[in-house]
Amino acid sequence: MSMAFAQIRSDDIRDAGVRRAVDSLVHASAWGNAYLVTVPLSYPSGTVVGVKITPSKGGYIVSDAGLGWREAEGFEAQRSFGAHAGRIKDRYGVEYTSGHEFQMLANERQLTSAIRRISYVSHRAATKAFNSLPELGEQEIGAALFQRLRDTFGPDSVEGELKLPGASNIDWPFAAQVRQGQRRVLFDVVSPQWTSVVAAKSKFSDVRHLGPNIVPVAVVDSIDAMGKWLPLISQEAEIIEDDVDADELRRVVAEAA
Amino acid sequence: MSTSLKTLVESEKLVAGSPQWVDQHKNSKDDQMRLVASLSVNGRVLQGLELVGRARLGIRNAYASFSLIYLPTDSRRDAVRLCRVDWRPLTPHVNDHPNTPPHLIGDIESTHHHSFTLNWAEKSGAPLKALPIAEEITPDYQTFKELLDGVSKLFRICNTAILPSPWPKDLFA
Repeated sequence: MSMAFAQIRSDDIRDAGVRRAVDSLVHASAWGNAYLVTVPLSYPSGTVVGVKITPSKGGYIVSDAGLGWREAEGFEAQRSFGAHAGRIKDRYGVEYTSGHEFQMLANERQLTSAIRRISYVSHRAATKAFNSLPELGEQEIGAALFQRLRDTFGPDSVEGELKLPGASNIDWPFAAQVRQGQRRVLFDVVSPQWTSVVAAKSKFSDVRHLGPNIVPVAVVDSIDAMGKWLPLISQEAEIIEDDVDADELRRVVAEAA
Repeated sequence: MSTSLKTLVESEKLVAGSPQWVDQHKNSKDDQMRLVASLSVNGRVLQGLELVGRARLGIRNAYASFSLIYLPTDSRRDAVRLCRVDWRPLTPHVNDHPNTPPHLIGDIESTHHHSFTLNWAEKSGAPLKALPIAEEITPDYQTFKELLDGVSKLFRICNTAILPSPWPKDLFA
């Protein structure tokens, strides 16, 4: 059996740039009686993923040394990391310890696969936790909008950070809601990015199917900055900028239909 | 908001009280230590502004970090990570975020600073969420005391020297 191209050791790579790059992809360091091996993956903060390999009873304990947890701590997403770790460990057949380390046992034959698996699950849990962090800009706009809606319509008519099941029964988050009799006007912040626009389009469409008394309104930082995404959102909702004055907010709610 | 975040970073601050390192998971074999310090500016302890330290008992004089974090009062908003110093990390840092200045692209294999300025994103009016851009600190800090001095200069916290070490005194050193 052979591969399409004969493998060569990094020492035999003639191009110095390629040789240096290949050498820097995997590092090994001694850590007491264990070893720390880095792999060609990096967490969202740029920290390179590494695994600790501890020889034990004729086999090896392979762990992420808590690097994934430390990464999640760096962006204060420990709870989310734990939740994802709990799901991921079962799917990939690894252990998640009370000290927040992914680990598994391996014999010599399984060691390469264990290094790949532990680095993958650690990276995946940290990346999932990172991706679950809301976009700061949208949070800021949503919080400010909620306050202005309360000032304009009074605290009894306005609710912030709510979830509403759409016609599909999926729960959709909204930044704020104003109730006017039977009518509910739902505000949500949209930014000119694919993920934000696609999520908004889905949620607006889904809640519209609940009937004419549910009216979504898209709130953006700048209508001009929405660019090509503008027509997609305007198919489902009126679009306002986050700094419209109180009279304009009253008009939007009154005319929402 | 953006002005106030910059002001928080640039103001001269003081550690308030006597923060201590705490074993995060006392009931496990884990040895992760955490320190949280409130900070004051002009004699007022500011709401939500914290210096957070992290270290492991079993990894002496390395793998410690200090972060400056702002926690808004509004619980619907997430913590804002302002800057971080990683001292002698376990694995290298890679600068490959699209906002990285060309001269900083590549790996950093030692102590580094995820600065507020390098990670500032004008578009969102806040630093990038994971502070993915860092610059190497040279010369490296040789002791925990030097690390505290560095944090003092970089984060503008005048009295970091009052912070204790996460590691018990080494009688053999």
